[in-house]
Amino acid sequence: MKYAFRASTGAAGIALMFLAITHIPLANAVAISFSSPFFTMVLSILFLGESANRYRLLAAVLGFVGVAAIAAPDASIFGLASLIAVAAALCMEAEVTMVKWLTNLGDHAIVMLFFGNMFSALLTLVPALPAWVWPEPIQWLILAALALVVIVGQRLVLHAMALADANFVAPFMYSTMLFSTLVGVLLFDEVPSLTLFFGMALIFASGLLLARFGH
Amino acid sequence: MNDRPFRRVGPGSAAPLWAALYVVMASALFAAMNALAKYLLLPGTGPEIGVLQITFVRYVFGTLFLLPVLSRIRCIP
Repeated sequence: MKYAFRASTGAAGIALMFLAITHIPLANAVAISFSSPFFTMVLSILFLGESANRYRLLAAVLGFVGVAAIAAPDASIFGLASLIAVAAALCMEAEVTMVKWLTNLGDHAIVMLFFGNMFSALLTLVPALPAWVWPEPIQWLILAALALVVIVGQRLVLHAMALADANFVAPFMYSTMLFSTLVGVLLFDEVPSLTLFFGMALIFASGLLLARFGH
Repeated sequence: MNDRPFRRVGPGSAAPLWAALYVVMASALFAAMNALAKYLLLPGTGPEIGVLQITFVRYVFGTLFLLPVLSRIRCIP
């Protein structure tokens, strides 16, 4: 049951992220997804009654301005796709919280990864079937490559966590934003805007503040 | 933050550098995952596969790729 709940948040996060990147540039969606600690903090203050020290408030302001800069550069309301990316971020943050809880229960990281994948596959089978399209061989290869890069990536993170504390390694995860920008430019002709880099810098600063003073 | 952020650091240890390198490599792979998904979702790149189907197949392959690792460490509960 615990793996099923973790799997449902993880699968929802991935599906929402995939949905978001079909409508907005890769870098924008990824940058918004990195604002998840900020949203978690805001929700925990609003609904769990957690205290808000000045660092957390500063992180909240930085995180919100960062997301707003990326999601609504023309000062209009947030687009639906940006809101989907925010929802993906919240689901991913819920999954991270579940993983931390399972780790505290003493579950092996590989076991968590395996059952997370297995339950997510079971959960997404039913909604995937009605619109099933048989992929071409090249699409099967891309789908397999997609899964492989995630598994290798997750194992690399586990190796990193074994070598150094999470607080040390976490900021390096933000390099995903830069890689996504690069991939967007090279493969999808997505030209990054100045507001994107501005928003990324603010989200990075917000994340660092929360990691350093958020507890 | 922990005052001693590195767990296995002896004099001259490169552990933190390796940890940082692993995470940066993982970040590149996560960016690649999104890029592959975006490519599959682009119109005109073959039969139009839906988001949920991509998510499902990604997890099926993920489970299959993890099976040999799981059996090697022999920690199935």
